[in-house]
Amino acid sequence: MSITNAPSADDERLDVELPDPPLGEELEIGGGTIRIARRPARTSTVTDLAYVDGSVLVAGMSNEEFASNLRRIPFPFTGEMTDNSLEIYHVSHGQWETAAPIRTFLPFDDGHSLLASYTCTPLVHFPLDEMTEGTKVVGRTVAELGARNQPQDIVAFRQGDEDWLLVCHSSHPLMKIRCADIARQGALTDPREPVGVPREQLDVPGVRRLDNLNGEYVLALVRDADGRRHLRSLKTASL
Amino acid sequence: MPPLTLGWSHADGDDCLRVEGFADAALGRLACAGADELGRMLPVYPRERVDGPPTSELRARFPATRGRYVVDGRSVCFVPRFPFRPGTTYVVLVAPELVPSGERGRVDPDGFVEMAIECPARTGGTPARVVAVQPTAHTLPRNHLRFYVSFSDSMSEGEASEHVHLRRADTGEELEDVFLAFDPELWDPSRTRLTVLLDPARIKRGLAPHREVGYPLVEGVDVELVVDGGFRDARGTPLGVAFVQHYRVGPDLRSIVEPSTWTIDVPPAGSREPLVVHFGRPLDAALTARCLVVVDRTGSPPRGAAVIGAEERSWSFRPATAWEAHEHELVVDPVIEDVSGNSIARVFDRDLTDPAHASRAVERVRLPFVPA
Repeated sequence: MSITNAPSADDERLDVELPDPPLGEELEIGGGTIRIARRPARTSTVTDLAYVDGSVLVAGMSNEEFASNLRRIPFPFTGEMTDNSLEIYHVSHGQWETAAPIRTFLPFDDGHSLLASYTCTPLVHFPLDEMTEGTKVVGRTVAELGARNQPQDIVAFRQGDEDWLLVCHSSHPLMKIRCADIARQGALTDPREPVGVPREQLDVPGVRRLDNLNGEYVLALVRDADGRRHLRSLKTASL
Repeated sequence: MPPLTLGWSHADGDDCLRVEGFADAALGRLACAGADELGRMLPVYPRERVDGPPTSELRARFPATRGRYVVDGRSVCFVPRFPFRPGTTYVVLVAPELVPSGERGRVDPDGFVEMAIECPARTGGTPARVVAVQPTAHTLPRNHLRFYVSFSDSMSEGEASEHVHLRRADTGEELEDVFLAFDPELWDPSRTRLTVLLDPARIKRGLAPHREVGYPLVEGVDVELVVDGGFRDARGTPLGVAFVQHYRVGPDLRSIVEPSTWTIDVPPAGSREPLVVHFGRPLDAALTARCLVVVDRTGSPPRGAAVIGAEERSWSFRPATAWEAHEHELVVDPVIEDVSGNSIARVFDRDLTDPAHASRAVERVRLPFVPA
């Protein structure tokens, strides 16, 4: 077995630099903008990204403000970056509206919507078509994924005639959710069990990251009880 | 033949492992080997791996440490893709065709010779220490969200979950599952300030984790934030000394941050007295430092120094030159939050049935003042 560097030095690449948020360290004066000199302490970390219909969507979290930013960057990159980050709210049980950094997300409905999981654990569905700059977007909470736990990654796969999601967590077992159940699931209004879409738990411990290898396999980064990491391929037919 | 030797060295300015003592035939092989072949003949593993499965199985099943090989005269250097980790022992497995006759050492069934060396902890200088934990307040609201731990020097990554703790002050019992997982760890660019978030799922009302487990903090139960002495700085040296900050826990803080209610001590014109702004509640330290700016009537920020006041309840700005008697503005970026994540635009967990929680679209807030 061998691993090679990716991308290799001669692979074609296009870079885009994510700008600082427009607010914070810049100030407009008389039509111009000045930058306030301070030792910058703010950083943002990309938590997930995906390509959807001509755009790269990038979710991230900051080491300062607690916000839910999703950037949409037209692709191919033009070098001109307009800030079009959106804050996506979700409502817990019909009463409490909150925003939080997106931990992981997945294009859904052929790219017409997104399923996002948050640092505060809900699985939220929201339509991409409504995502226009300056609009407040409120997603529909379709599941809660459990206490003392954080969702880590989501992939979609097909088994027979049905589409499924696989969700891995920081402490809960690997979870399998039927995509059709998400479409059927109304917004959660009651925090008691069962909390949202039905899900099955799979006996594959320690999965921390997931990706599609091809139609037949899902790749899983697995951490064993000794803390060692393994890359495993999981046959979709057996999930 | 002299034995093979393994040592620390530099290649093109990078730290590397250097293997020396090859016979001419081996050097000939090395000189014409490609990157893959060099990787096969001289794989490098951290020691924890080598102590597990036999080295033959290791080579067959596990990828070696990534890096590049540089054939340099009569030696070969291995430059890792990511820096060597101080305190870790690395093992180089040397293929039999490169081993001089008579070489002794631990040999696996395929004839690979094992050579090991420890990456020294970079001593010298004093270890890093914790210089501050914010909030500096004595009392946190029950729905407190965020701490900042500042260190005197750059720190190692990947260790926060092991070395940052919250415990009951009375019993010393460590509180479990109170932090948002440190994945990713949230550092500033210099890796001297770590952001520590209490689990938002336990703070936000209505979420299942909040219903099942409750707030990370309990009103009336004092806690201590502890950074233990095992946290290593970027050179691999542990702090050595634990840092403990004690907090009381008070009632919730849950309302929109309202700059129009702040009180401003306006300085006299002609003086260099500071402008002092009192928030009436503790604000987030990092966002306060970032989100407040004084501008003069031309819209330019005068030179000067800003200081956050005690318990992050105030902020002051002392200009480098005397105040002039014309209108200035304190400009507030709406990103600013209090210690519970409430902002000018919204409450952290907005109750949709409470009109006082109605969120609003907010541009920069401008608070005028005239030194008189």
